[in-house]
Amino acid sequence: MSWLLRAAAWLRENAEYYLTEASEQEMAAKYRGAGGPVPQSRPGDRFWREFFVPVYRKLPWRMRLLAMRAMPGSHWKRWRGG
Amino acid sequence: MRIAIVGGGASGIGAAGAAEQTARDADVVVFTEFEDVGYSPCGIPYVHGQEIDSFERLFLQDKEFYRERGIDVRYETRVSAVDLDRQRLVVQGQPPEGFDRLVLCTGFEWVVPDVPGNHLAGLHFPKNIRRSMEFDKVLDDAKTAVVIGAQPLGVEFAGALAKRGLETHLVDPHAWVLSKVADPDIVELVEESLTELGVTLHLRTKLEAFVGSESVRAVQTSAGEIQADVVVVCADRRPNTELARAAGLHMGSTGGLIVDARMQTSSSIVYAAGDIIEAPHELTNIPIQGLTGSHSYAEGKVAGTNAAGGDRRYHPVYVPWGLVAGTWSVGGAGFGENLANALGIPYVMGKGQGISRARYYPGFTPIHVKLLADPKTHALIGAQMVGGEGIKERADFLGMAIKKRVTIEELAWMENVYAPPIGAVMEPIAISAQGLLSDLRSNGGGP
Repeated sequence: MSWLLRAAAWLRENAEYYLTEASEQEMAAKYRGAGGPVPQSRPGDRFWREFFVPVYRKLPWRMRLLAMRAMPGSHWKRWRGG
Repeated sequence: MRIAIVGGGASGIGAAGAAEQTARDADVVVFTEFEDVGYSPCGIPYVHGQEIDSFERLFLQDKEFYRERGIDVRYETRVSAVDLDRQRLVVQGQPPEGFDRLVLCTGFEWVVPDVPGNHLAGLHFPKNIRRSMEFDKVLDDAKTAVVIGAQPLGVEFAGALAKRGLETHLVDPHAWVLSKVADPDIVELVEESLTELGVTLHLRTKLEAFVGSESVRAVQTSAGEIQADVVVVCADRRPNTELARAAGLHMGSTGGLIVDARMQTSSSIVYAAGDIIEAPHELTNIPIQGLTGSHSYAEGKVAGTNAAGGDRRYHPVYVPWGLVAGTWSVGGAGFGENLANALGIPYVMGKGQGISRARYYPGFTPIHVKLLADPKTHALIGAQMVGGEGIKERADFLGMAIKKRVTIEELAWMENVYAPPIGAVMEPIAISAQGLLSDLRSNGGGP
């Protein structure tokens, strides 16, 4: 696997984990008045929780979508239009 | 033409059948490292729960069926490498096997939790039907069970083991059950019913160790130790892409194989389907990975057809889903509130409650519906439901509604079937959509 694919997989895995963790905390507070998931201890925790998640959330949706679509994957192949 | 298929699950058997139908004179060979092919692993929890009386019922066909159709299944045969240049499979303990087209359907594998004691005997990772048959015999003498992972399979297992009469504990680090697919408000009834069935929920609880000398006898968690005669582990899974990676096929950011709509990989002679691939989501065009058995089977059909020289295409997915959880059915399609919130997708949301049959007809149950729509166009982008019956059909319908960009206005005034034993005058989906429209009008929103 090329370094680009490895980097994309690393970015996606971490982004998915920390964005979901933040959202689950909010959902748990909203609907249950309770805490979120037990946080996993991962390398670079503070960067992801205190920098990545807030910055991601400040970006307009179109920009987030473009960033996600820029990653390599099946969506680069022909899926629409027969 | 010789078409080799590696893997005998839903996608592999789907591919074999489609290849054989597409090119009658093709030599179709399926390699599986297991003793069986073509059964429904999704039915396994229900045999443990004794709602299905035997494992044999889970087999779609017997071995003779595949022989008669000209599909050569090589049982207990492990393919250890793919040589794309020479178009050969390296088969453990046997001579290499050539192919003209290859379909990889190697499925998923469980991630073994990285905790002390993860080597102990007695940890059951549900997947293979023979191991499940052995596990079922163990259940006859077991009194306590711990299930690790409160996601769909874990919840199905917990319900089944409780119905079997075991004192059952369900352990998960998330704040609510089914957190990866459903929202917390949707699963409140599910959690209540699991508790009523006798399942003790240990949410927001971290697995710390499996305890025992040779066999597991307890599970250590952040909330204390739980005694366990049996432990079922269904926490995290990943695509089994070892062969594909070693062969140099391209992977996407999800860890799944990159394929196109024809299920063709980065090699023109290799196709792939099922739990090892990633497919784009219909609404975002972002690839996702690890879908359902029905996705696997349909993808297998596409891969097999194209490998045999046909032309069939799959489509981006919108993922209708559903399961029985506790005594309720829960399901949906597209985005839930939690996922939309995590990704930052703009949405408006409405909730409503209806009933599954006429209010005077015995046995009606509530159906709670939650709809998410695009705030500008009001096109549906997601739905979640919980109810006693009729959830699966509504999830299928709402999946198609998302695909076709049906709006909340259209859903609010949809036509619906009214027949007292199967449907009420007011359709719960329409009630929810009307509620959302009313909220939007109150807030001055419009498409």
